[in-house]
Amino acid sequence: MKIGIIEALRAITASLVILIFAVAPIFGLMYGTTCALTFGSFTVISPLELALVSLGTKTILVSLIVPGLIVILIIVFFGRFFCGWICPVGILLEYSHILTERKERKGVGTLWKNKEKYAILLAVLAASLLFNFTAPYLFSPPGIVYRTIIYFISHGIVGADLTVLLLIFILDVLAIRYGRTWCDTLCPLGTIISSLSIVNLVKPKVDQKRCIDFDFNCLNCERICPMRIPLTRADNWAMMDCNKCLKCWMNCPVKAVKLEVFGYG
Amino acid sequence: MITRREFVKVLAGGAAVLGVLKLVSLIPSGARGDIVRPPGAVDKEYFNALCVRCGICLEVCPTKAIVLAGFEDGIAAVDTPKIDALIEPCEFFRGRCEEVMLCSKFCPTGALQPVDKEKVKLGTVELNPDRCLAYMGKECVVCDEMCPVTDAITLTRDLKPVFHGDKCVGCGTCINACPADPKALTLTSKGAKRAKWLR
Repeated sequence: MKIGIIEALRAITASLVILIFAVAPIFGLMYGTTCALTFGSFTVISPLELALVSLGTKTILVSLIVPGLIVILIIVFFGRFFCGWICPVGILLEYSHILTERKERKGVGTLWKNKEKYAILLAVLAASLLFNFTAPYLFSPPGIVYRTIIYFISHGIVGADLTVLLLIFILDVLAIRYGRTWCDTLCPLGTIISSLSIVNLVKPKVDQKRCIDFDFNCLNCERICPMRIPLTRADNWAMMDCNKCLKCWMNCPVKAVKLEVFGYG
Repeated sequence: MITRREFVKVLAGGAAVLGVLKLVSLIPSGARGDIVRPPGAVDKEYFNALCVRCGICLEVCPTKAIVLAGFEDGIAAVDTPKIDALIEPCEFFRGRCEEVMLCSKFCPTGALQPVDKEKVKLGTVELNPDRCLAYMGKECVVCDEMCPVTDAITLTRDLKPVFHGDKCVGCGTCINACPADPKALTLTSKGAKRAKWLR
């Protein structure tokens, strides 16, 4: 697999965000990780953490409504853009299959595939509601990475986070499969982002007239998609998983994949 | 469309994950089950649920006294803030914190709450005379000199320290300064006064 311009751009963006998380606290500009961020007086909180805290304490936390809504609003429009361009775990997992030489996916699944993640998300939320087990450190992979880095920079200690991160990579490698297994079938944070991306402003759409799948059984876009979206037949629900990596758009041999913004291509 | 088999498979997967999480939550915490929290921490029963592990408190602490709990502190408490006096004591009571309590001021969920200095007690320090240099006949009054609280440590006539648990605020300054190896002092969360969580 050769690494295209957009892949390189995504890796650079993710690295830059790591750098911002590491450097900003030194100048007192921004504190925290993607679990919760504060710029002094202005705070934002991730929807997964908001849900876990509210269910774990069985209370609506009034002070978190605005910080939570800001993030939810961004997600409604941009969906899993975060997973494709910012989350360091996702990008590392995507590249890890170069090293492990995974087999490319041969067949394609039904539209219902990858939907076990909704059951997992519900189980995670139920655990905090039923037996008060809220462990955001387990369920928010980007938070783990940023926390490990800021903890190491400020204290010089590597905490328990590295073990959890290793666990994610082991889970992903065990499921020997093309693409980002953790992201498309397990990640609770990614799933909550998926289910919130109702508007999903930017998404690829296959132009059925141009697509040569019918004649030549191409399916290049579906094979290359790291989130394993059945692009040629995808409905809006399936497209909610799209992390805007633009691989399908870049690699279509007949340029049948168009980028649709607000329903217009 | 969704076949019944696929639907049942997904439901079974969710139930299995819930079961695994229940089992994980039942893993007993190790010997160091009680954790000394930063000042302003809410009641034990709510703390783990309220803390989102964002790491803001450990970044803003001016003396870097807040460290993250590990697996030995219990599976539900991993990455929550704690005070490990052996690494760095909480300097809130010495005024090096500039009396502002940045950790609780910045906490986004209210797991750490702003509280009055007089109402804070992180835990209690206990003395093991078998390890204390003063009790072994050497001259050492370091703990008494470092203690930010009046009358928490008093000296007997022959300069041996006596700890008063009711006055001690549990900041751990004495432990950090104790020259004995291994340390003669231990900090536990015994008698800790937590902040009341206002919903």
